[in-house]
Order: sequence, then structure tokens, then C-alpha cells
Amino acid sequence: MRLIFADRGHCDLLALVASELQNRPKWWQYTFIPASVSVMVTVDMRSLLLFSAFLRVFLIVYGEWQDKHMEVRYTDVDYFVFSDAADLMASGKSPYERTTYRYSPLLAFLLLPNTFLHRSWGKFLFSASDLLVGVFIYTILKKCSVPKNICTYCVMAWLLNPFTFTIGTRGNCEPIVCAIILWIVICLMNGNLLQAAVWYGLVVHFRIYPIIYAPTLVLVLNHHFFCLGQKPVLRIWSSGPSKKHECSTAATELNVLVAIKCIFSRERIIFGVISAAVFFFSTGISFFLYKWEFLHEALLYHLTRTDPRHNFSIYFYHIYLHYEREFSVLEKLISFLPQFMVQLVLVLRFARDLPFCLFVQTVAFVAFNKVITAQYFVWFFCLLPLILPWSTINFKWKGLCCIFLWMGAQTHWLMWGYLLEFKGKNVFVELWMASLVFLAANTCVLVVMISNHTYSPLFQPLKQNSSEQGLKQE
Amino acid sequence: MEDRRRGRPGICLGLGMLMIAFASSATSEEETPSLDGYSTASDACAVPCREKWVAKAYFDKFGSLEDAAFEHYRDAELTRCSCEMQPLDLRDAFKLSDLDRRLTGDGSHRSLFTSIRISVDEELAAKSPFRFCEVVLVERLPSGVFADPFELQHIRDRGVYGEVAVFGDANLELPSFLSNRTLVEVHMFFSPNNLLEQMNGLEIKVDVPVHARYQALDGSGYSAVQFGEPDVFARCSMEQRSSNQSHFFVLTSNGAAISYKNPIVWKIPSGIETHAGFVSVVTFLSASLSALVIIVASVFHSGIKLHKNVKTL
Repeated sequence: MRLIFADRGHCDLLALVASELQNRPKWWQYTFIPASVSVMVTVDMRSLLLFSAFLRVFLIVYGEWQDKHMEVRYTDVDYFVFSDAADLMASGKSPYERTTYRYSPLLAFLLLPNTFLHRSWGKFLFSASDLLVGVFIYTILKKCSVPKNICTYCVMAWLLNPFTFTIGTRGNCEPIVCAIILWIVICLMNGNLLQAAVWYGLVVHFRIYPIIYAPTLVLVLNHHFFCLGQKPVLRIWSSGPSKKHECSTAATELNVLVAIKCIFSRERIIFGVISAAVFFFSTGISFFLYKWEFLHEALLYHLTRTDPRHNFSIYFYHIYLHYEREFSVLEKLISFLPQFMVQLVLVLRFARDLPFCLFVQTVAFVAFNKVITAQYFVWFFCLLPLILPWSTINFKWKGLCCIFLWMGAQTHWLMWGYLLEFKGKNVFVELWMASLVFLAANTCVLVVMISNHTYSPLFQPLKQNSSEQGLKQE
Repeated sequence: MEDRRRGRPGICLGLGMLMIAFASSATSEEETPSLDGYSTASDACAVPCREKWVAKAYFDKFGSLEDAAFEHYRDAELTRCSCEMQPLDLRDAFKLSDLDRRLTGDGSHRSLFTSIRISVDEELAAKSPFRFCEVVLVERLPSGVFADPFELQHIRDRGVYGEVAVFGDANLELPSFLSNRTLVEVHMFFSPNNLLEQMNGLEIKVDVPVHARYQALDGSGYSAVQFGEPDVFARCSMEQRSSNQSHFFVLTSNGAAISYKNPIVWKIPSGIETHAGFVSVVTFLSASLSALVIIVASVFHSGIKLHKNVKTL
């Protein structure tokens, strides 16, 4: 961390500060000490990573102590499920003998050292992935010429988010998925189509939800902007908003006929074939080893999951009230329609602005899902730092309002959930209404973010900007 | 909120004598059990009694818990093990002087507390060759309530129980109308020698954390779940934790009068069927409206308009 002290009499330094401020998004502010001293605080990325690593190690050690000495455990219940599954795998048995293990056998394989080394191995692995996400965020933003300090602050939004550092240290595996998704973005930014496809196939096998990114990834591989064997031209942050001709290009993506004509490009076919091959290969091996139990628990369960128990989703009470009878096909289609339409429009509208599209897709997917648990929020938290430099939201007060609205709606739901689960009050209706409020809050925040986002395609047209390749941040 | 119940130990403990037999003859005054398909008397005696877990043989045979079937198993198959002379003094040496049950806590996660007080006849206990004993408490949880086996294992690892096992439905997510019942078997060890040193006998407290499943819909908004009585056995052996050469016997009452009060009833919130139509309509309308708002915002996103606005930032 660097502290620069300047007296108000030092006009040169203040002029420098003023010019830098002019180019910053409004949400990003310097902190000034009043009176005669101006202070500019900068955070070094290395220090941030070291501090974050130390924090996570401390929490893991503390978690072990709490688990041993207190009745309420720090460690997530899921971590014990993973560990037990890994123990079973280590002894040559199926990990699916462990009830509620509903993940790829790959996860149990990664946690085999829990059995041989130490039971905390998995937590260290997940926390390391968590730190890797921070590094990847920094890398992606630097590639777009985002100033170093803004990059670091965006990384702080991930590394110092209480959701994220508790998720990994409690033993949840979502950081691995987040790291892989960001790595896919980096691969594409580097022009490594094959590697991106392999990792995408693998992450969909590992966790089903990234399948929603398939249309986006296919659309972004437009031949005009991404060519196999050629490094793509990336957007540059300081160049401001997208130019008119790019916007008209973006507008033509809404032309269905043009989209259909361009859809079968070489890059798209290669990406689709390789990622599908990796997915089916991984799934095939898992099926060969663990048969229908794997297929049902790791894949089909997630595709058809409806949980009648209370969760953030607006559908939970509807599902509970109808659980004694099967839903008709029509009812299932109707409930799926809002989700489908939102995803379709978001993809068609924002696909070329890849990080932003992934973000809004994930928020919408989680908000309209049949089951919502707190760990799902990590899916879009890792993408949020990638879009902040292109947001025109003022931290004071629009940004703060969005944060308080979202957290307030969540807290409101948690209050009713507490009364139901821990006080035994029949507040199903109130809890369901709180979930409606939470959906409204998600919708509101999403609309604000869309409205205040500077649309900026990740890849610039190859031919028209070939002369700008020398200006690339790399 | 808690419910108390003090029950007659004899109601649930009125079983025949259980023996793990290695001898072929039985000299008890009770009816000689038939072999019922077992080739030898020793096989018939050994099958359920050598098992570490009392309930295991039942679940191996029946798969799911039903009171009538379990009670028949308890009274018929477990009592089959009366194949060698049961030292009559043994069952008289240890007596159940008190049994207290309560449901403690609030909400969907509670504890079923059972307190067992064992009194000892010093003279008879001194003659007993057995050095290691355990009380076996079998809780047949009602439909709508379950115990988490992994949670109980964690409690056992902290040294609270001697041994614990959960039988029955392992799917913790299903509502009551789609799940089977759960049985919890808790073993608490004690030493007859230690028992002799205690003036008021031995009190064994067992706290089993139980959780509510989602209940069937009910117009009143609550579903009443009633707990039955536990089955309490005891097993003593000469070697520690050995099911071989050990003897089951029933902890019968020492004759102390125990008043009977209301059974333990847990009122669990349940959904109300009349809400179904309204909730479905509002849910779908809300989802549709939210989707529409997001779609409109996306379609009319001012990606082009911002060209003008950005310059003024």
C-alpha cells in the first residue's frame, strides 16, 4: 500500500489527481483527509493477495478449531459430504455411496489428499482457487488496459467480499468453477480457442450451470472478431465507449437471418465440437466407473431438481403446495418460460460484451431458478469485478442503494426464514412474499446495472482495427 | 417449548429375557420359542443377538420401520435368544428407577431428551461376573421427524454417546409424505463397579437431535407429530464391547410408581392447501413481470445513447 501525502499548496500533484479522476468511473473515489493534507491511497496487488491468503489460512485454521470445540461447526456440511465421498473413492468404492453426494467424481478425486494428507486439503484447494480468481480478474482487466489501481480495487471487490472468503474456507467448491470460467475468458482473450473449449467442456461436466453460457460463447466467436490462429484485438478501456460502426454491428446481431448465416463459422464449430467431446468424454468415463448412480446424482438430479423446502426462490412455496402431485408438462413449461426468455434476450443483446453478458445471465439465472441457495451468489460475484470499470453507477449513492436494496431484501427473507425454521411459526406466506421481494430487488439491481453499463464488446473487429494492434495492452 | 412424559418403564420394557446362547437348552419358565426356519437352536439364538445393533436384523428383513412389525420382531425374534439359563440374579441386579422424556428446543431442530436412572442391588451386582454393560436405547421416530446420521456421528466423536446408529430413511430432503420413518439406536456404556459406588444409582442422559421434515398440507397450518415410547435394553459382557458371550436383559422397573402424563407432541408448521391457487398465480405473474422488465431494459439499453452521455462524464 502506498500513501502519498500532498499539501494543498502543491498544485502540480493536485492537477495530476484531478486529471486521473476525470478518467475514472464515478463509483471509484479517492479518500481525502480534510484540512491541509490530501491523501491518495493505493493498494498494491501483491500486498492484497498476501493479505487475502493470510486471511484465508487463518479462517481455515480457526474453522478446524471451531469444529473441534464448538457444537456449531464452521465447516459447511457439503465439505463433509465431499470428504466422505473422497474416502470412499480412496477405498475403491463409489463416492455415490455417500448420501447427498451429487457432484462429479472429479471433485472426490481432487479431494483424495483429504484422506492421505489432511482433512483440510480441500479447503486449501478451494481457497487457492479463490485467490486464483482474484489473479484472473486482475489479468482480464489489465489486458483491457484498465489502470492498475482500478484493477486492484476491482479485485478487492472479490477477495475482500465476506461471501467469497467464507465460501472457500468453509469448504465449498464453487471457487474452482469460478476460476475455470475466468480462465476460459482469458483463453479467449489470448486467442486460445482449443484450450477454452477443453476447459468449458470440463467445467460443464463439473457443474451443470455453465451450460447457460454456451450460446454466449458461440455468439462471441464471430468470425469478424475472433479468428482461429489470430490473436483477437481486445477492447481498450481508456478508449471510451464503443464506436458507432461497432454498435451498428452489434445491432445487426439482432438480425436473425444474419445470425443464422454466420453461426456455422469454423471457430464456432471447433469450439462446440471440442467442448462437447470433452464433456461427453468426462461424463462417459464417470458413467463407466459409477453407472446410473453417477448419471442420476450428478446430472439428472440438477436438471430436474425441485426442492419444496424454503429457499430464496419464489417457486418454493408453489412447489411445496403441489408436491404431492406431479406437475404437468404445461406447468413445467410455463415456469421455465420467464427464465428462457430472459436468457435469450440477454444473450442476443449483450453477447459481444462477454464479461457483462456472463454476469447478467448468471444473475438472471439465479434469480429465476427453482432453487436458490446462498452459494449460488458466488457465481456472479466473480464476474462483477469484470464489469465495474465500464459501469457509470455512482458509488454514492446509486451503488450503495443497490447494495443495501439487495442485502436488505435478503435480510428480510432471512428474518422470516428464521421465524419458520428456528421458532416454528407458520410464516410460509410471509416467507414466500419475502422471496417475491428478493426477486424484485434482483430485478431492480439488474436493470440498474444494465442501464448504467457502457456497452463495450470484448473483441474489436479484426480488419478495421488491424492498425491498432500495436496499441494492445500486451 | 417442551413436552414432558414420564412413562411406566414396564410398558416398553415388558419383554422377555434376551440371551445370547451358546448352549442348546433353555430352562426359563417362558414358552420355548420355535425354530421357525433356523436349522439349529443355536443359529436361532445367535442371529439377532450377536448383532452389535439391535435394529439391524429388523431392517435387513423388513427394510422400513413400522411399529407393529418392529414390536413383533422385538417380542418374538429377540426373545428367541433365551436359549441358555439366564442368571436370574442379573436382571434383578439392575433396575430402572426412573425414565424421563422431554422434547426441548424450538423450531424445526430440537432435541429428544431421555433420562434413565438405574438402581443397583449391591449384593446381586457383586455376584455378577460382568464388568462391562451398556444401555441400549431404541427411539422409533414418528413420520415427519428424522435424525441426521452424520450429526449423530459427530456427537459420538465428541464422546457424548458410546455408539449410535440411524436406520431407515437416509434422504433428509424429502417431505414426510414421501419418506419412511427413522430409528435411532444409542448405546451408552457403564460399569457395574462404578454403579456400586454411586448412592443414588446411575443416571444416563441421552439427547438425540431431531429435525422436522416438511409436513403434508394441513388446513390448520400445523401438523401434530406424536412420539412413542422408547425401547430400552441392556447388555452386559465380561469383555469390553463384545457382543459375543454377552447377555441382553430388560431394565425393568424397581416398583416405583411413575405417573403418566401427556405424550410428547410436536406441532410442525405445514402448508395450507387453500393457498395453492393464489400462490401459483402470483408466482407466475411475478416471474413474468420481472422477466418483462429485464427484457425491456435490455432491448432498450442505451448502448448507442451513451455515446453522448459518456463525453459529459
